[in-house]
Formats: sequence, structure tokens, C-alpha cells
Amino acid sequence: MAKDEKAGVGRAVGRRADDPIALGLRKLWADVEQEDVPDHFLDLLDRIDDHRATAPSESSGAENPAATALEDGPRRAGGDRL
Amino acid sequence: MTADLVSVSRTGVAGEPPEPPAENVAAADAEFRRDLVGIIPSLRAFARGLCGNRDQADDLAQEALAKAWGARRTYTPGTNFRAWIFRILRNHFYTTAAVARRFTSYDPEAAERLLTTPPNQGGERMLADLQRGLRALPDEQREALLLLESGLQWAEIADVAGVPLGTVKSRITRGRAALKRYIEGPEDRPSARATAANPG
Repeated sequence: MAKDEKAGVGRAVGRRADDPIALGLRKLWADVEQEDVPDHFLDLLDRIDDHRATAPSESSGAENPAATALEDGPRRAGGDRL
Repeated sequence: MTADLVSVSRTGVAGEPPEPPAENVAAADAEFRRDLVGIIPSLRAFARGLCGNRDQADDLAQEALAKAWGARRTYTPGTNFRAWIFRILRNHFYTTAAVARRFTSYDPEAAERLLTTPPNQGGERMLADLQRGLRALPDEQREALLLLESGLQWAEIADVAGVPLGTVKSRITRGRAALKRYIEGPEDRPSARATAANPG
């Protein structure tokens, strides 16, 4: 009995192609992945790039470039500071 | 003796690691940036699943990006970048969630109002129920289920969450069972109540 239960658990946690919960979770994930990436995400990386270009000492690892480049914090669409 | 010489030549004087050539650093940073750009959609999906709220999720994903960039020297190239950055995101999620919980309490009615579009098709209804059920799960179970369906293996999920493999399996099993109960239990389903009230 215990062995059967254990085997059942093993099946239950496995990925099954026809399992509606797994399919639904995958769809929820895929729907977000397929959305266009908002501009403010790329703006964030551009600010990182700007910092890289203006802070040659960064390569020493003596400072945290993200903390400096991103000290304003992330921004939402429209440029609002959070 | 030979080992000592090798050690000195690799680490420099006083045990300090030698500074890599600037061009190597630039190339590594450029590659890391490409990886960051490529992982943004998955980061947003993971964050959305954890938060259940688009704006909060995007804030969380951006914070994870910034933290990942700041910690890029700690990433070992060739290891699992996806698991590494997911771990950063989830750690930040739990840190901020712990702070938020000091000031707010969970309001299931308010959470339900966040889903403003009434689903009208079978598949959409199921997905809406799944989203609500996901939100009702404990964070750790929700996280494990999301990571599994993101494509990570159990061992990778255990690494991201910092728990033993058995704990991951337990969380997934319990989470799936709870979701199944939520979806199949008409008394818990807002969409089922809507259907009952408006069968046409």
C-alpha cells in the first residue's frame, strides 16, 4: 500500500502532456513570455550600458554598478519613478 | 612548491585575484547583458506567477535584473543562468513580501477584484480558475509549480528554492492537489458561481 502510494506520488508530480493543470500553468507562463517586453525594461539596461560607458573603474569590481546606475530605481511605463 | 607557484601566478600577491584584462571584462559584460535581455520574458512570467499582479510583477522583474547585473561577477559562466536569476528574483520576492506583510493583510475579495475580465469560454474559465487557485496557494507551492512548468528540473527547483529535493516534490504534489480541488470544487470557484447565476 505504502509502495503504491509512493508510486502514485511519483506519477502525480511528473509532467504529463495531457494534464489540464500542467497545460494551464504552461499556457499562463507562455502568454506572459509572448507579451512584448515593455520599454522601461530596455531603458533599465540602457542605463546600465550608460554607466558602463562612463565608469571605467567598474571592471575592478570595487563598486556595485547596478546600485549606482539604478539608484533611481526601476521605472514603470511612462517613466514614472517607483 | 610547484603548486605554490601556480597558486601565486593565478591569484597574484597577497591572495588577491588578478584583475582580468579590460577587454575580457567588457566581453563578459556584453555576453551577460545579452543573457539578461534574453531572460526578461521568462523573468516577467515567473514574477507574474508569484505576484499575480502585472505592475508588481514587472517591478519585481526589474529589481531582479538590476540585482543580477550588480552580482554578475558572482555568476559562473556555463552554469544554469536561468536558475541563478530565478533565485535572485524569488529571494527578492520573499524579502519584499515579508516587509509588505507587516503592513498589509491578504484580502481575498480584493484579490478577486483584480481579475476584472469575466471569462466566458471554457478554456478561459479554466485558466481564470487556475489563476485564482494559484494565488490562493502558499507561496512556496506556487513557486515550485511555476518553476516546474517553466522547464526547470526538480533538482534545479530545489537549488533555486534552497530546499531539499524531497521538499520540492512535496510542494509540487500538495500544490497540484490543492489546485485540482480548487478547480473542481464549485463552492470555491467564482466562475462557477457566475455560471450558476447566469446559466445562459
